[in-house]
Amino acid sequence: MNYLIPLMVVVPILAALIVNIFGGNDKTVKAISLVVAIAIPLIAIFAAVGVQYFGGHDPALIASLLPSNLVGTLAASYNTGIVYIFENIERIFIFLMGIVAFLAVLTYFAEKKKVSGPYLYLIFMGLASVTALMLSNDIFNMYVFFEITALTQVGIIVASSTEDNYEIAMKYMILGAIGGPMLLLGIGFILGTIGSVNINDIIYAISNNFVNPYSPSLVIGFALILFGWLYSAGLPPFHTIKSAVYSKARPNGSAILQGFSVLCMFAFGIAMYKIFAYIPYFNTAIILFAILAMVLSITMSAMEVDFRRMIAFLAVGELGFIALGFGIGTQYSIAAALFQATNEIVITALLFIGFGTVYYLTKTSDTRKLGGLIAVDSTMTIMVLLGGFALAGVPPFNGFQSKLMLVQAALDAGYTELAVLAIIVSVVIFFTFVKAFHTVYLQPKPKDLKFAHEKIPKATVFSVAILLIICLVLGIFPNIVTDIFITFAGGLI
Amino acid sequence: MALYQKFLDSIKGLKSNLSKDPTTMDNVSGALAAEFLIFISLILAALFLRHVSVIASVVVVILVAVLFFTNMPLASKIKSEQSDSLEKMTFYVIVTLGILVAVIYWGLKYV
Repeated sequence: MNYLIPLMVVVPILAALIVNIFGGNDKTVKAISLVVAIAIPLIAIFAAVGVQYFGGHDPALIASLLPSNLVGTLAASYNTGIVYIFENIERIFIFLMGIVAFLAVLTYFAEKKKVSGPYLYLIFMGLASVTALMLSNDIFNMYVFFEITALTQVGIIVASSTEDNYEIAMKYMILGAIGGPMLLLGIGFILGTIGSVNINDIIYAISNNFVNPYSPSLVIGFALILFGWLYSAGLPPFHTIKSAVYSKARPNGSAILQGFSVLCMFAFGIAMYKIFAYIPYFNTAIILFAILAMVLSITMSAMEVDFRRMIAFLAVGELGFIALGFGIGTQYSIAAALFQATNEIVITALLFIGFGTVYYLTKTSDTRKLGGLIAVDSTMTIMVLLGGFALAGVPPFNGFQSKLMLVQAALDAGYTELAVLAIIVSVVIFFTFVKAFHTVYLQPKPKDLKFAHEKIPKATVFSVAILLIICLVLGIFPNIVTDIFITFAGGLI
Repeated sequence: MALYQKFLDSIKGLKSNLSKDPTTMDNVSGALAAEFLIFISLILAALFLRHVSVIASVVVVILVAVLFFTNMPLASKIKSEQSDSLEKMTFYVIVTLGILVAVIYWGLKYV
């Protein structure tokens, strides 16, 4: 029994409750938050790969106690409780999400004198939820934790005290009231057809022809779960609200929110791939939504004048690259998608926190009112520039490696047009970023530009530097993660 | 040349559709990049359909080219459709749900 696996969920939940109770005592809250935030990635590193059966229902143990008339039946193979599976791929994602959460919390403490217990509660509860979502092998359990994640996302926007944040939070909840129930309904169809919500049980029942793979209830279940996946990831038609959500949170909150979206996309994407990859045109459907996400989001970001919204659209556009890798559906492309997901968590967090310093200094994100900010902190300026290079896929950063893998995978699979599209979209991302960077940092400072703060906190510079180092390390030594991704993708196919 | 002039005129009109602010290099270049990206991606997406059906792909490529040149500029139209308006967002969410369920549920019967 590997107790560190459930602890990855239990520790942040406990931390969320404790920081909320001690909300008025800043020192205690800060100490607890920092200790827990650094503990989560450490637990992910030290936990051994394994399976956690909740409720003591190890299937092997139960099978030995079954009556003889049940042995060999479908019911005998079913898992009767929730199962968490922890492999090296989960280790990578939980570790990186933990690092991003730690740096975001550190930045929050540096930029805000009086900390908010409820805000930290939401961050830790969201972190616990996405971790559980990653670990769970049960689609209903995944749905429950996804809904908690969605609620914490709404809470983080509401607690961010930015302009129009309440309105966007309300709109996200209303659209979530369509996306969430459809996902649940899809899961309900699967449960009604197969009698289990455990992913392994569902695959076993379908692949051994215990149910008709094309039964109307399974097919409609797939359609609804695909729709729920679009909602959870923020792919079209949910890309507009998702980008609005990112842009209305505090920059450190946005860094965490985009990480949550990537992990939700990964968890449901893998589950969907495992269960429904046999359906004709499954890959085509995913590719079409990937193209839509890339083109619509990057188009919007190119025309945007609010730099927070621009980064938000770029973040959603990058999700399209992940979906593209999943859609191509080869071992190499899925590995590339996973690498792209890893990189997006880090790079977008870097840009949200790094560009967020502009908002911290000036309290505006309108590029038409900004300029000359290189004079305030040239180190931060250079780090943001390098972060933008990583996003656009410029060597030697991680974004280059993952996008190169995607393009190679598309060419190998015979999708030349998708490879060309990926390159063109990357060029427009580069153009969009450089345009915003030039406007904010390099063009002459407007005379009427006023500063709310004179300097960028050292903790924020430290956070961006750490994220940049991760980008560089993953760019120079991609094998640290790609070997694991390629092995995982091979098993998936 | 007529086609080129039409394209150029549409780009000039693009900025005024986007906002009433003074035109700058930044927003014109952004709008141009967006317009080109839409056109190229539409053509490439239509070409991608060759993996489903070559005939469908040829028909869609021709349709896309004609529709693009008769409806320029698309960037401003796409921008206005992707506003933060709850009505528009809900509309596209419901339409997508309807299309997905209809295509997957009924479409698979003919595969």
